[in-house]
Amino acid sequence: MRIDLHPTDTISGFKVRPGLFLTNGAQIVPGGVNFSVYSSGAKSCELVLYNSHEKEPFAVIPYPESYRIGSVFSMIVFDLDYENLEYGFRVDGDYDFHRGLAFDKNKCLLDPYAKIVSGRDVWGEEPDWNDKFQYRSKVALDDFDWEGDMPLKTPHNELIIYEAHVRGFTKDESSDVKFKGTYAGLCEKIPYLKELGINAIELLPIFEFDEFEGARDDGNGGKLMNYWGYSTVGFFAPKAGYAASGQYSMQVDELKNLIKELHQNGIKVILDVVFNHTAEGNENGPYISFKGLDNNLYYILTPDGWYYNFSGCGNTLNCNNPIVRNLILDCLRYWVGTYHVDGFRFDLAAILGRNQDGSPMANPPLLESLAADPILKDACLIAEAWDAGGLYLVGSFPAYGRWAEWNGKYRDDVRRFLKGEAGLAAAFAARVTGSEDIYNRFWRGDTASVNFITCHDGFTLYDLYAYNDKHNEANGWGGSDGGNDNHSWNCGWEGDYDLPEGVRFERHKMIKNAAAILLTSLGIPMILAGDEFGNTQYGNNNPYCQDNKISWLDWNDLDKNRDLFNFFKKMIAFRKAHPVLTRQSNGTPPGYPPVSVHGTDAWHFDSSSENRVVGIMFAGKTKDNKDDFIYIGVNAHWESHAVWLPALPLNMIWQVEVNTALGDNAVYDEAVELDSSAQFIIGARSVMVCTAKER
Amino acid sequence: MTVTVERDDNIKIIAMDGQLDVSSSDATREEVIKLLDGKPTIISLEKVSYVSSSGLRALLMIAKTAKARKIKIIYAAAIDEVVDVLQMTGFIKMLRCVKTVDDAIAELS
Repeated sequence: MRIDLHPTDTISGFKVRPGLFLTNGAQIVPGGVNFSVYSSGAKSCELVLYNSHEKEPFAVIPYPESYRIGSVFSMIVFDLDYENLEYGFRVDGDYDFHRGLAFDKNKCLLDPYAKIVSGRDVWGEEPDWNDKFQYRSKVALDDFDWEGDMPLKTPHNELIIYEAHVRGFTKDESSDVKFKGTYAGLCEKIPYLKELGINAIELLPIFEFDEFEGARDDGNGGKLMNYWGYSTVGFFAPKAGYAASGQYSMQVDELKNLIKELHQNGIKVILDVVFNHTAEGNENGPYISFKGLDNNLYYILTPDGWYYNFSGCGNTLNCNNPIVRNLILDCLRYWVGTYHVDGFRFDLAAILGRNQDGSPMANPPLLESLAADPILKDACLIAEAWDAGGLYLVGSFPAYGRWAEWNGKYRDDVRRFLKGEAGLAAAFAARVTGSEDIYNRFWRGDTASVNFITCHDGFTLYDLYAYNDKHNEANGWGGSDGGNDNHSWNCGWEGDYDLPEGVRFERHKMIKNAAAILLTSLGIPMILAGDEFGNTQYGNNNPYCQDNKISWLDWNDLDKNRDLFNFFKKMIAFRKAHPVLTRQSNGTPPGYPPVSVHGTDAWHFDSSSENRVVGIMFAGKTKDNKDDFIYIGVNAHWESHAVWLPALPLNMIWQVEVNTALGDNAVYDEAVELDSSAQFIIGARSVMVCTAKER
Repeated sequence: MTVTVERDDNIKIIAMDGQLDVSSSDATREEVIKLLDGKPTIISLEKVSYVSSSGLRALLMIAKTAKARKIKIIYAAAIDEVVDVLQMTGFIKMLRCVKTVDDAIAELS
């Protein structure tokens, strides 16, 4: 027994001693639990202890002045039943709104470092609104039998990301898993993900949030919820309602098991994280944690104490304040170090580069710290490089050679070109070939661009080709929410009612065109979960509040649209088989550039406004070091066009592997050789994928 | 929580009865580990009404200790709620679990 782990005092009937000042939050120590919290403006602090789900605390233990170093309060309390314990802090200090001081000693605050948050243990279970302490901190067991697991080493170039919502992925009956809508349910679907071939899953926010935040009646007896969860309550706690075992507070083990199982199947885990704001809202929002600890430190405030709203969600986290910066760094290190998470996608990340007065910084200390941190060294850092305050940093995000970005221009340019818009050929070619006009390879490396055509925010891929207009009436804002710049095309028939076969055929072709482009573009591809089997949101392009069939994947579509699944699977395997597509080719065949752009005639790219035919050739080496040529022919025009492929070395001949014009049979069982003229007719709105073989 | 040896010949059967949580898991773990004497062992969970996070760890540590001593160990007859918890958290993959004590006896014979 350590000599510094003996009780020294008795307070309120509890054996206590000064705690471990360098740890944050609650930590189990031999014989007791250490509770540390800091608040720069606090005059005093109390630790409040509850038995699980009890309304009244069983103990209130004030931190003696001698249990404080600087602004850190720390105390070990002995002999606690820590599995049945909920705790919080009450902090006393000044209240002066216009100076940003919001202390209220009557409020019981969630530990900002809480590893488990209780209060929303089972998704959608109505909480007791009379309970003054809604979000309660709990102590977690940090040990876990990882059986040798570590974050995966898959090079970033090779990533094929799959963006999914934990609940929506398996909540529908059709998912056919035991633990629907949970981490455990997702775990049951790993064989499916493996068959598809993706090697990274990006989860929409899984930090504890409140699905009841902003909840409204939908007018039909149901509720509109905070389904997406972009509003963090606890940064260190996994969403309890996503755990089948959340009612037993076992979400930590359940999520760690999911990550371990994904890793064993070669799938990295990337978390979508929200540091731009918190669930505390503005001056009308609830006190959860930060407001009562140090309001004017955690939030960017106007000179007279109002909340800046660069996030569009009420408040803005003061990311480049040194205290907040450390909190964010601690958080990310925790997820990598104890959960073995492989990377992060940062929601509205431009805010992470704003100064404490809200102005953009050239060299933001937070982003620099994250880029240089030793624990985060191999983690993917992906920025959504804009915010709701008008700061748009795509291509100019302070990256330190380390950060990748969601390439919003890729989405828009590829959508517009494939839809048949004029004047997009050059932009389209630039997107497919790595967007080097946006991301200078010298500074940004090969993996700066995360390419996507669809993501959770907007139409699904099926809806992109099933709806000209968004259909968001169900969201309750009269259809006014959600983006209007969808660049979608319904193929001549709005929606699915009474769908003519010819339109269905065209839609499947358009989906395959998009999949073929996405999976042969340079950069990191990201697929929205369900797009591989034609999942629909019925034209809703902003279902953030739809916890129902609109958002949940309908796995019946997998049987119905098997051709789409097989096509995605083929293109993923194709990408993996050709190092040149991931910029990992070991050399280039003599006389050929690694990437070249062509028109209907080889080597003659036509950048004129009316051209809608683009050919891209990649030249490199196969894994066994043979010459490798790939030609992607894209015809976005509504008429077919003859193209001449570039001449190959004399010992090689072109063969077609994929031709989306063939509809359900777009993938050839055996590649079809072209004759020596290397001419091919690309059907209207079609994509062909050719490779070279030796004669 | 009580721990009882129900059979001790060529096979040892240990029955747990009660809740395996933070108040009982350390003591139960130590008690069961003391009973491991080299014979193939079945631990009946039939009368275990609840297993908490620390209870899961106790079950795992018992199994790991047995494995290190090359003792075959099988958990049997857990109620559905406990099986669910083992499945949700993945602990079931690290433990040998069967439906009934008879199944376990058949496997060890």
